[in-house]
Amino acid sequence: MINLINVRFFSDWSAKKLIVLFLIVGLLIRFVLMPFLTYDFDIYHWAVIIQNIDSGNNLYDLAGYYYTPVWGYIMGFISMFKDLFLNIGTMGMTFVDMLPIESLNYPYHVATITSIGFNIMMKFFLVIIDVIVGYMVYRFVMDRTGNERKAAAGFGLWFLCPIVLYMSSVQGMFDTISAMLLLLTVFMLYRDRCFFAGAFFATAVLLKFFPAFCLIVLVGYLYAKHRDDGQFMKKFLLAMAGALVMLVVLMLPQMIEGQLYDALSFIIGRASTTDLWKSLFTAGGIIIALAGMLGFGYLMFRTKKEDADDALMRYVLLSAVCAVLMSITPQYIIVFIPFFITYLLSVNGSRRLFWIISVAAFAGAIVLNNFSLFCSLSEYTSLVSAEWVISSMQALEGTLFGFTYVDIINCIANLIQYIGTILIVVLYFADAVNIRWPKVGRVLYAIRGGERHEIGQSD
Amino acid sequence: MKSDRVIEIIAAVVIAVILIGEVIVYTTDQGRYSSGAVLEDGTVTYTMSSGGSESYNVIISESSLDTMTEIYVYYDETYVSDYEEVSVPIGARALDQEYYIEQLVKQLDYRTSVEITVLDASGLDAAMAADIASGDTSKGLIVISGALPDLIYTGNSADDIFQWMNFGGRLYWLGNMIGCQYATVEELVPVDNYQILFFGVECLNDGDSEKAYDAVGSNDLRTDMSLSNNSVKYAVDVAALTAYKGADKVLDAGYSDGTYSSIVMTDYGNGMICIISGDYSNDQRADLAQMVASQLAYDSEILYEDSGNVNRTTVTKTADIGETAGNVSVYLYYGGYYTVYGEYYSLV
Repeated sequence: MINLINVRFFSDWSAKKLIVLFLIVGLLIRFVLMPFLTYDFDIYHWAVIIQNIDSGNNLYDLAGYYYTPVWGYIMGFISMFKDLFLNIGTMGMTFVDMLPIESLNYPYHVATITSIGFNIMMKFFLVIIDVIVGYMVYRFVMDRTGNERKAAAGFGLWFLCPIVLYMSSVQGMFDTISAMLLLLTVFMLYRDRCFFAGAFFATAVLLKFFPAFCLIVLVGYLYAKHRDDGQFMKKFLLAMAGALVMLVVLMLPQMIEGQLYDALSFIIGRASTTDLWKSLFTAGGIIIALAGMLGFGYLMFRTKKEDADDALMRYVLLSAVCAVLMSITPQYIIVFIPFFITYLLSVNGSRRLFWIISVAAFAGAIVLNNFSLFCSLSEYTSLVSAEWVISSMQALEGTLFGFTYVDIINCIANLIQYIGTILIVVLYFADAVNIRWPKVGRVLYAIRGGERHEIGQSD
Repeated sequence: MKSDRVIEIIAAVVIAVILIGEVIVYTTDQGRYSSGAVLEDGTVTYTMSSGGSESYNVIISESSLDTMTEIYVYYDETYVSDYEEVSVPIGARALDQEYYIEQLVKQLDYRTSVEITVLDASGLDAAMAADIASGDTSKGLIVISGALPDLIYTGNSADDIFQWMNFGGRLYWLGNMIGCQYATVEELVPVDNYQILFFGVECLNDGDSEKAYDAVGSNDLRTDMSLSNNSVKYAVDVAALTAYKGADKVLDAGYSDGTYSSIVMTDYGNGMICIISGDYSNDQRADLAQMVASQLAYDSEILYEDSGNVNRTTVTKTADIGETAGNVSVYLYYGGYYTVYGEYYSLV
């Protein structure tokens, strides 16, 4: 697959041909995966949310929805689409032979298994988002490099990225929407449409919290672009107005219903865990995220106007990287992947780290969910049996030194993903490291590849 | 950046999707669903209508018990309660008694048009006294506090709770061993022989068995009613109870570990007791809502069952049930295990 996305392999192909190839291959993989493999737990909850909406309740009236409201609204749209155009009567059923799955060591499984039709419906929307983000990556790389083949490679890197493929067509997780909204924010800033940039930023933050840590970088970009023409405050206020309007529009129902706490509980809940290690890890993660937000925000403020466009892409990437270090969860890295791809292709950086991180995240996710991915297939077709699914999962719960095989493999994958993610930030400082510690610097250059640029060179 | 138009269109569509979704979330109501059922010459004609795409289930049953017209839900924060704390997902509210009831009322609300009244201890005492005085046999009571208040239960067979059930009241219980204690505003007071008081025989699960991995084999209510809770904590030993009362006085449903069933109904005088097993859970609450809304009783005989899909249309069907001796009723719901609408029809 690495060769597949190395456009030199297809040196005779035009960029358009490459994009069509990546699109067809990516869609084929997705369409094959969509009906056959599904992680039971998340998609069960998507069905519960649609149930709650259809029963006349709002997102927070009944248990089932624990995020800020934007994903719930998108589910509302999907529910409407289902009701208008599809005949998916049964979203899922509780199966007796799946009950043991709820007693496994890893608690995030349910015996109420969603139907294959429902799974495909949910994933279909996420595949559309994949295509949109792929197109945006193409445009961004094109804009930064002016090289259509690189832009095509950018599309391919995104669209064939294992963790992106997995999250949209297997797990049914919506982090790709988070990436899309952050890309739209940056796009609007590039076009100097500050009101809309603010609106998309607020939407992104109310979908998943990580983009919030890009705030200072985004404001810094406005400053860098407009400090000389005296328009900064005007643009800033416009962006603020956009964010505020969107914030009110999206949160008004919760304000009226007195459900603001419920709407923010996922964030509050993460920050207020009672487990000491988790608390320490969360606190450490928040410190890193805040440091990233402030540090890269500061660098963005210092950036010269002519370098601001490149710097925005770079510092949004680095802020988002620091933000996702708060939690080792495979899908969270998706928010920065489009920016990572754009950055790599802009500086001709080595893609090795990109593949390491995305494959590690993919491995972590698939190991954690393992044979549960066959739950829907086992209950709604005769291709595999529920007994096989359960016994295979139980076999993976065997222990080595007190840890299950799943835990051990998942831990290794998470560790690689986490170190890889940290390396993105470290590699950015490779030049500074090289000045002090040339040996270490050479190692970092070998990993990073691409063009050298001193810290602040473009700032 | 060149060719911005496509991204601008994408941006507009994204915002439109989100805002349309928001409107859908906050304007969708039960108005898009409707149903009806009538009994004529031994034939039930039932009609189902949905503005969306839903599965449906219809259960026509016959029972000797009168139809419930009102359901009491006991909740008094000034009284001591006793239920296990359960873990909830990140971001979810703690599933305490107040939140459980808040959600239960909403879940009942879209499943039945029967009146739902949340009562504190003194309110419940007064309501029961009025029911007993008037001989009202059409009330139900849901208790999830783990202990009945001392105003209606002190461990004596002459307590109001027993008189009320004798007249025909239906008691739905979950979250602890039924009657093992009563509550005051200060403490919980243990009760001896509580199982004898409620069942006439020792039959409750006080052991380690907490989960059932098989369906109850004697009927199809698990699928007919879309039941999901497989806990058998605090559950009833069906064989022991049946041996004491007779098969016609006991009905179990849901899941079984071979001894205990997740849902057991049995008679008490002219009324009944329904035990929904386990500690608080969302599945358990959905099952409770289904059992209360359907008004199935320990002697319910399922005369007819139907399921299918109703997609943006109205479906009318008939069921020939012949001669019946008891009260015939129809419970009809949409969404199956993800129930979104229900209605109960008494066809007496």
